[in-house]
Amino acid sequence: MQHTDPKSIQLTISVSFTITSVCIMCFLGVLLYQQFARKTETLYAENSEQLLNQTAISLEDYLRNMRRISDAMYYSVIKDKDLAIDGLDEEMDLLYEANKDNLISIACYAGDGKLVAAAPIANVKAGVSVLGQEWFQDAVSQLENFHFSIPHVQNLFDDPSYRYHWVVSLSRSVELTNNGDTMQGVLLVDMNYSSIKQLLEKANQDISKEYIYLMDRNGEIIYHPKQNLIRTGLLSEDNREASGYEDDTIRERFMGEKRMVTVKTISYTGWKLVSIVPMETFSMGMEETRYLVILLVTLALLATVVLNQLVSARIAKPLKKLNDSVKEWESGNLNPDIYVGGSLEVVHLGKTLQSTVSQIHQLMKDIVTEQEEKRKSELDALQSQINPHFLYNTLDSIVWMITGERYKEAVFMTTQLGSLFRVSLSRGKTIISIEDEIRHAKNYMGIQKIRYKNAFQVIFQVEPEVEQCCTVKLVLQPLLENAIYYGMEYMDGEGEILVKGYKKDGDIYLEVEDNGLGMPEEEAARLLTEKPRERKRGSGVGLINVDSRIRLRFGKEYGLIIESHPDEGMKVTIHIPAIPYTEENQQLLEEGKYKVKKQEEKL
Amino acid sequence: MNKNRLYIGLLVAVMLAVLVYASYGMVNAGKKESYYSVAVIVDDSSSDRWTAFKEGLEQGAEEEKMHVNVVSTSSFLNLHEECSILSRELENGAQGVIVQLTGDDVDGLFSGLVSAVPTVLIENEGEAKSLFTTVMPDSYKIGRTLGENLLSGEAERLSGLRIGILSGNQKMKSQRLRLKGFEETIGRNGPEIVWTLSDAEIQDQTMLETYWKEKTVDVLVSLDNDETELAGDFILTLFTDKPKLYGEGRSEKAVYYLDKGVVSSLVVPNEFFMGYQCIRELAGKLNYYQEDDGRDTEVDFLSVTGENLYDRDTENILFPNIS
Repeated sequence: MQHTDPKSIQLTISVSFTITSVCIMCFLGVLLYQQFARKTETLYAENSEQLLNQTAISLEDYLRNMRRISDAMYYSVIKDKDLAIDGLDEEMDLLYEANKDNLISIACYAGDGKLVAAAPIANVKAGVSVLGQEWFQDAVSQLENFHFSIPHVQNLFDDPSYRYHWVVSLSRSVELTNNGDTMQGVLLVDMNYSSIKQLLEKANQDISKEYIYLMDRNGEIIYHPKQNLIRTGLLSEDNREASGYEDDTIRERFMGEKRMVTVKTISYTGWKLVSIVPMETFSMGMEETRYLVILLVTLALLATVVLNQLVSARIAKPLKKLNDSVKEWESGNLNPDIYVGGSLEVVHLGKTLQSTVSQIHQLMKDIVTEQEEKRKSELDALQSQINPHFLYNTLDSIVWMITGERYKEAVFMTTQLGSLFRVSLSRGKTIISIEDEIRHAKNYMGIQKIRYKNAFQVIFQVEPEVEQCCTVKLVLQPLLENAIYYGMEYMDGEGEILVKGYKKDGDIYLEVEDNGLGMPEEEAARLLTEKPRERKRGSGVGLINVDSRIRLRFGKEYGLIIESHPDEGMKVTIHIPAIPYTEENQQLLEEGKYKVKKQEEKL
Repeated sequence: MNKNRLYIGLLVAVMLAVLVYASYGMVNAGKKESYYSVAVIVDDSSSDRWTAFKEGLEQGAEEEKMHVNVVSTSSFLNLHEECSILSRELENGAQGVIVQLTGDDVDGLFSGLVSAVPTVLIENEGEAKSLFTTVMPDSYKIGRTLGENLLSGEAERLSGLRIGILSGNQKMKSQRLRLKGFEETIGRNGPEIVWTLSDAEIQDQTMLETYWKEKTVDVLVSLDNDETELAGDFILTLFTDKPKLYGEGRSEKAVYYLDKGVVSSLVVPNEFFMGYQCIRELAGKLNYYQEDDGRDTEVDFLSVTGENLYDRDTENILFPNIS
């Protein structure tokens, strides 16, 4: 896994929000544009179809009108006339005059191609035979139908003004009556092609690339907005292909251009109106929309980026200030000014950190105090090891014993004193076994008993199991000293000091009980809380000192328990944990690491 | 942090650039395309012979988004007269010109006038062929085709056949080439060219009638549209010994004379294409800054007789204008 440097919270928020916003905006932009494009395409298709239908209706109207002219001429004039008696010219002229805007000429030919009547009256071109012309052949070959030709230049009549006309010929076979005999003829209505052209030009007025063209059933172009270009081969159209299309909208590709082709068949003639909408038209129409979408998306993105910057700065600023506070703390300022501000969570974090810093600060102060007390206690303990007064009295007693030739007692006392000092020193150890502590107490009491001439008795009742556990050294001696000085001094041989050692509920209890004068409960309770009073006599190590040393070493749940009643005596109990006396435990206790190790073992 | 600020700054700068681009695009999207103004100067612009050419111009202008102004002119007396009109059009803001040179630009007046304007020459390139883009039929080929038509039409009486030529404006190089083409084709095959008259010599029908009385011919050959119409008009006045007429032209009157049999064969250039192509060439110069590099576009032509006059293909060339 590749390691990356941690980034600032502002950068992370800003970048992630910006990327998300860009993606969403771009996605929305594309979606919006596509939606617009689709709608526009549909709209174009509908408009194109609508325009095509309107044009088809107009064209059908025009062609229907032409058929009506032909019908009127045939059914109302030709069928009622006998050519031997009446001419067709008058009615034909009337019809022509009424419709001359859309017509070039009306003519009726006999089956042999001879002109029967024509309007407007004109000279027939010399040498022109209609028999070979397409419209005539169509009419003769299919008698029942109307025949619409494709546009062509009329080649029938002489126009001295040099004019030539493009026409669409509507021809039909008719029955002519001549002298009572019926014969076949052909009625020709030459429609003015420019009328059709104008009609379709209207539909092609739009300047866009969309256009409509007209072709016959075989794909021959009747009208195309670029007809001349197609005729001269400068442009091509897929009219042959489109002539096979049914009335529908088809998407096709022609000459590399995608386009939408809509076909509509003109009734009766079989002509087909074709609408061409190049797909390019849609995109041209969408140009403004495209720019608008880009504009909107970019504006939104810009706003989002700026907003992201502001929001991320607002979120990150309090955290940064908090971080600066932590950095200040890390750099050694133990009482930094922790920032509290910003959002609710950051305020909470700041307050918690502030409280933690304060607590740690207090704890550190406590530790320093405790350490000082511990050092002081240990100093006191050391001092207690060499009490000049006690030593002076003992040595004085030994001198007097020797002088009085009580050598045996002097030897005993000297031995006890030596043993006492050995245990007191313990090679500098603070933690010793209870066995050694008891021995020390016994030595001490042995000396004191001689000094006090056996004014009291000392009884030791210590369980052997207890002797192999650890204790802080010199805890019993001050208790015994207190018992002697405050309990035994006025007892006249009836004094008794009971030293007990036992194990209870996993802890060790060492009791020093005397049957001396005792004291009131309130005064006894004050022994552990008040400052040591002016020492009268004794080792100089008070009960408070012992209590403090035990609590410092084993914890606050341990220490001294004092029970006393006036005239009944006093009992001081040492409560310590039962820790087997091994070299390892002794070492751990000396270094103050025993509790830490036990907690680790529990975990 | 500075790096991050730089990135954010760059992103904002890019967005601002896109904003400016999109705004510019939006503002300009609705604007109509600009149209170039093109002046067309031809001899006797109202003549019917230019109808197909104008159709071609119109079609091309529609596609290339140009305003085409066919300057109203009568017959030019000389190139200087034409140049004065051209000068006026350029002063009026014509951005491109299409010109039928009615003479050879021997003194460089024309070249000097249009030196800074995209120019296309039609029908006659004068003596400045290499300087300008031209769109025109091969005049020599037209003359040769006329000769070939005559030879095939009069094959039975070539020997001793007397020919009179109406050669049109011989100040124009194109007309000289037509004459040359015709003469070189005929010269090898026996007929005799009795006379050759330019428009300077035969200015109207009366002059032709006068000349005709002096030297009658069996066949008249007209080398341009006006001469064909003139010859047609003249032949219709004759009651006997009507000469046959072989000509060049494309006006409805010329076609009518062909239809009536007055003209035996007519050479018709595809002037619709000529007009259309002129605009395409000019568009290339105006839109894409193409140089006046002497590009030549040859316009095709066809020979029309009474037999193929109403053929579909011929109709399309002869009558591009729908009336």
